[in-house]
Amino acid sequence: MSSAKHTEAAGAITKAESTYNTDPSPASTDAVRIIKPRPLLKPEYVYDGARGIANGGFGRHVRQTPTGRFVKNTVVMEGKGRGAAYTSSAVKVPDVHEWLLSSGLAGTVTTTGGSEKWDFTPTAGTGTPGSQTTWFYGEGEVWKVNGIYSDLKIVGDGIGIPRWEFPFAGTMTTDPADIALPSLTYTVPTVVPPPATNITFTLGNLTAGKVRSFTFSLNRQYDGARVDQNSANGHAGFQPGPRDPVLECVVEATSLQGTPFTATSAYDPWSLVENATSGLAFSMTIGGTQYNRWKLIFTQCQVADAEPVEDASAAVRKLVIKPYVVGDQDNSDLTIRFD
Amino acid sequence: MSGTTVAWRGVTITIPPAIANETAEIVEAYELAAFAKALRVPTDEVLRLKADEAAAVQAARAKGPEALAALAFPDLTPKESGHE
Repeated sequence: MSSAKHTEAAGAITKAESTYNTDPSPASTDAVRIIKPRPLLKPEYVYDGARGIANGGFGRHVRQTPTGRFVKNTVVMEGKGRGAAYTSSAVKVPDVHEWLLSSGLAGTVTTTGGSEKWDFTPTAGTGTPGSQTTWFYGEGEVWKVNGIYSDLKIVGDGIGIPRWEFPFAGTMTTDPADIALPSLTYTVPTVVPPPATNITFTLGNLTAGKVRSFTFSLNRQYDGARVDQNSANGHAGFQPGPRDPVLECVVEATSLQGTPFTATSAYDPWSLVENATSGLAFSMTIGGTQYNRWKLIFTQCQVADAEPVEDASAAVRKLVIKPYVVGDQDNSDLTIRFD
Repeated sequence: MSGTTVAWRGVTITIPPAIANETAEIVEAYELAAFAKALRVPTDEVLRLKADEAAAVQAARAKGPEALAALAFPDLTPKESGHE
């Protein structure tokens, strides 16, 4: 009697696509570490084959073959740096690199000695959005998902390691297959992701704010399905769309700061919203060691909303911070930096 | 997809997607050639500049964070020369 398919023998390998929806055959060295809850993939179909109720009766007709197979789910990872200098474009950020590139962001690496960094900034509207293929190993099978576009959410709901969540959609032209989990090579597995403690948080002049939690949502449209009657699969992939980035953070209340409504240790959330105070610079740094830290940077932003929330210890405010662009073809609203 | 941008000492090159998917050796060889072309110098000169840079970073690290923070390398952007 064969043994049951193991639930813990799981992994994933990810590779950017040179041509959209064309499998670039990721290798075992392209492994990305997905944390739980792992995505339990389920095939979905644009046309599910259902043909409706039989005439003169209450039964159902035989189903047609479904077409337009795709997969939608979410992978969760931990953000961390390389632990060493980014000396070339081949020295990538561990785990999240290709998923950031499929989330409507483009990567720029600076290799100048001592100040190496990767900057991920929104892909220009006139540019080509990045896509990737991921082979998911789990439960004794491999699922090859192509043409993946994704969204991004970074959740820091305490002082632990923030979670990087990537909701995604991709096509599936290859059927799942039985396979034993191969030997996968992960990037710098001994580098430990930095937790959300001793972070730096800057909003305008406010640098001493006490942050309880944060959630950054890129809110990038990624799953506009492209039905294709001309193809055997019936599905030409997905079309990504605009983004609506927002940072929600819970910060301890302070004395209400007069104009310009932020100071080193005080802020007035109500006036920031009422006046739509613009031109605020925002940055948040997680991790204190060069090459194992990341930053969320808004070149310019506003506080779009504020409300009091329940907290057991002190008065706190939930701030909704939204970056904005400064021109119709500008993409300077946000940067995710690993330096 | 659009290429990956590499910035070094004021010079910027773009790695095409097809090259970015190759092995690290191929990517780094492409970068070397692309920087040499952008700077209008031989590849050996690029390697020498990078080696000098790495040595300076290592020496600064040994001295401490202040020395590392003070480290600055001159811009290498080729200057357009005037012609009579």
